[in-house]
Amino acid sequence: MPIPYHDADELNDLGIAGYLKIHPVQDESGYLAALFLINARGEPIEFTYNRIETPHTFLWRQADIHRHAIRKLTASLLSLCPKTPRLILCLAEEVGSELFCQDIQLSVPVCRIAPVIKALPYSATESQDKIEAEGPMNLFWYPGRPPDDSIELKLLHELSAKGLLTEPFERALIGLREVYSDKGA
Amino acid sequence: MMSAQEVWWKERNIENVPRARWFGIFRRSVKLSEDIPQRLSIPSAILSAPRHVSPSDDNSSLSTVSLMISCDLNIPENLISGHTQQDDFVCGSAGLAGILLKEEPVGLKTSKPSQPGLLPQTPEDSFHKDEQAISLPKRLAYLLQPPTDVLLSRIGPLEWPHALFDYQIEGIKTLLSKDALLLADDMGLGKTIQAIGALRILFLQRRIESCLLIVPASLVGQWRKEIHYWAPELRISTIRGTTAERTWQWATPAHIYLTSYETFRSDCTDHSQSPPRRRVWDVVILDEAQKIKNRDVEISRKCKLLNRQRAWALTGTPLENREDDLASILEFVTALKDGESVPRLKPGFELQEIHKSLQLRRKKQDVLPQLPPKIVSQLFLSMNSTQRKYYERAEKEGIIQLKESGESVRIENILALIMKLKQICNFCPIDGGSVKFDDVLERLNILVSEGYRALIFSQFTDSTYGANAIASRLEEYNPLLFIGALTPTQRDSVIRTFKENRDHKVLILSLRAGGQGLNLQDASYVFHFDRWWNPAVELQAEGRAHRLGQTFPVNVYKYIIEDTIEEKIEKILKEKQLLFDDLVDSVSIDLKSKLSSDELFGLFGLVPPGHLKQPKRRAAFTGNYAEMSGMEFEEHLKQLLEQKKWRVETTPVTRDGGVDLIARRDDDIGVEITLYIQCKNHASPVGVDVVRALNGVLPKNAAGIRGVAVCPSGFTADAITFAKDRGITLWDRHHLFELF
Repeated sequence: MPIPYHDADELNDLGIAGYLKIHPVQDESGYLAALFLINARGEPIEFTYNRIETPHTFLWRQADIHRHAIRKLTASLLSLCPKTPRLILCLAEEVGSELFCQDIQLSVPVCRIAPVIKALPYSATESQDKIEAEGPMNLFWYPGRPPDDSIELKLLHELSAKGLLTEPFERALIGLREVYSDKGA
Repeated sequence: MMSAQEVWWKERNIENVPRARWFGIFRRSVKLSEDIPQRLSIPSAILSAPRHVSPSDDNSSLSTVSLMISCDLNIPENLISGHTQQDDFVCGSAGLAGILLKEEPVGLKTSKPSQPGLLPQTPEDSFHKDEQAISLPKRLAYLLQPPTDVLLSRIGPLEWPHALFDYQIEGIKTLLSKDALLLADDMGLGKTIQAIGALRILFLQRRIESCLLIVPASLVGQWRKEIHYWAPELRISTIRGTTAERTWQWATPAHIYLTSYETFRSDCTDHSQSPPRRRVWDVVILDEAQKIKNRDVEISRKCKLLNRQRAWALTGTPLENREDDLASILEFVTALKDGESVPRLKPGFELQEIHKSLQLRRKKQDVLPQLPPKIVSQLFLSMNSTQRKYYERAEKEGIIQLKESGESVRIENILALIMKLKQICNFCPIDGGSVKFDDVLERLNILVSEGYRALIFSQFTDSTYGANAIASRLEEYNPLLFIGALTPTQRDSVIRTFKENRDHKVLILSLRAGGQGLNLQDASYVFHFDRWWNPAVELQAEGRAHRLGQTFPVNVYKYIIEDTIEEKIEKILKEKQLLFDDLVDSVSIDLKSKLSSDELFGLFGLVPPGHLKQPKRRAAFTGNYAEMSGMEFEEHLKQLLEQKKWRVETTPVTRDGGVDLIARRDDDIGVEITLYIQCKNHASPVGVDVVRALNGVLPKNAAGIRGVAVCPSGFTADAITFAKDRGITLWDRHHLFELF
């Protein structure tokens, strides 16, 4: 009896996408973060998570603490995740352009997503693109928009076509709440 | 000169990026050695230090600038590295889904350690019920599955072959949320699809691992096809055949175990270790659940013995007024955990309350706006053993005769054999049994009780295989017969009687006599007892009921018997897409002209004799239409049609009224088809005006007449829409080439 399996090559070849979710703890004592990997069908592949506590001190500007914490948190997730996504997606309102443009350099493209109606800053080193998903969305690519025929772009469009451009961030938050239910998630 | 971005993309070695191989829900023990995962190589972080601050990477040393951010970073945790064995890391194939598959693999779940409540009822609401019993990775794996709404969406991760209607989505959600449900939608609303859809999602979300599906014997093939169509990733083990085969089939790893009531009855014994009772089924589904309406019969008792977490019953039979029947079915539709006994429900208020809470029933009227005007269903049925035996004998004898004919065998001999086998597919000449008739009867029972009436078409009229045979068996429905042997006066009388007297529940028509020219909006169900393999003929027949004045969606059922000539020809024609993309828009198809000698003889595993080898088709026309004058183009088209055995006349130029050619041909059943053709050899696509003009000159209410507009350059969108609405055929360059 052969092992039953179903190999849908086309979608498999698109690889997996990583959704980086950063969520502040309710009492502002730190951040929770997850790198949620899904395949082109939206099926969960990997969920890597961590949290960081930030000090409450007047000596530091909150923006600096935030930046440093997010950098460390992200680095820890990336170093631990055993699988390599084709691209990493994050929400522009959670992740500033400096994280991947300056603080951490990746070998996979990063795409920050923001609804067109939200005015969010982006870096000059990022390239801007638009997509019609759950509404018009701005995409800020670093180091640049993948070529039209690239697998990365195909994967993004596949996810978008299936309504999975931003939905997995919600799932990632559910996952974080499950893990850190006692930490004010 | 490449930009920095282009250099980045070029230098990045995409090939080195490992590809995640994912085998969906089936990947239980597949390990791929070629995909060794690599960790991301994160270069040393380039710190953009805050002014006056030198944050420490290791959090342990003070910066020389005197300040330090002290962030308490947890030791990174990872679901996989934290909870799996080293072996599971081969190829990195253990992921969130893998976690769910690690416990209690399919086929190993036994009835003894049943722990109701161990698995959550829904991923969203009940994890915390028994949190201690479920590890965090497993809880996460459930929670992080795509939400049901996304899964049911047409553009969601699941690729549904067709969009689901809103009421079907509602039905699926109800099935997902209820352990016990009597789905009693009106016939034709898609109970099968809803059940399969719900199963698909439950399997995907790993909320279930096994399903037992018990259906009438004749519908086993139909269910297999529907499951393959709507949930192709689900593996089915069909339980049938000899005892040894069935033993093996019960033990085969699968998602769905599909069997008939009869097989189930013989395999389910009083012994608790008999195959169907050996395990706890995550779902047990009974199709046509009225089969267990009598609680005292064996099948009813045995169905209720099954250990089941979920129990769904499907039926299209209204049960409101039959409380005893209802009680028996509802006794099954109660999730029965191990050790619990079947509840005994008594007619009365309590039963009605339970009924209300467990039944989901939508009538056609409720969902009328969502329904298409015509719902066509192909029903694949299996013959019973006697019919099968006779069929196989007739086929063998026919093949022997063909072989004995040697080189003198003709296409007509093949066609005669096909016809004979088609007749046997209708009725067994030995005992008169017919799986098709049984199905028609079952459906009629339901639809007549709901006040509907039906048309039944057959190409045969005799009393052994055709319309008369059907009529003689349907006396309780007071059938009327409309066949070619009737005089015109008799025909009028039959139609008038059917329209005026609703006591006549069924009108049985021969395709040849009743396929055209009748208005029978009083019937909203159409049965094609046998197939003509000609969509045009079938469409015309369906059109008797589905036409202006019909206020209700028309349900059309087409029967095909599995593993017979009906299925073989259907398959070939489908592969050739003749049923859907015929070049003359399904005006006429006959097997002889559409199937090659090789294909016709191949139906019986034979090779055509030398003289029947078909000459190769002529090379496609490659001429330039732009160089033809209008007259030349008409002449060209005329020649093409004459090659296809159409009788073509050219209309006088000055009095053509918009019609250039009139082509006639008798179709398979001897009905004359007439094409009114307008030729436009324009350089640009023809607009709606031309098509409208053609529509204006077509004879009204004339049977068998169709307008055809021809323009090699194609048609505008308006023209196409207009033509589609009016049933006018459009031929562009592509269609003309196909005429060769």
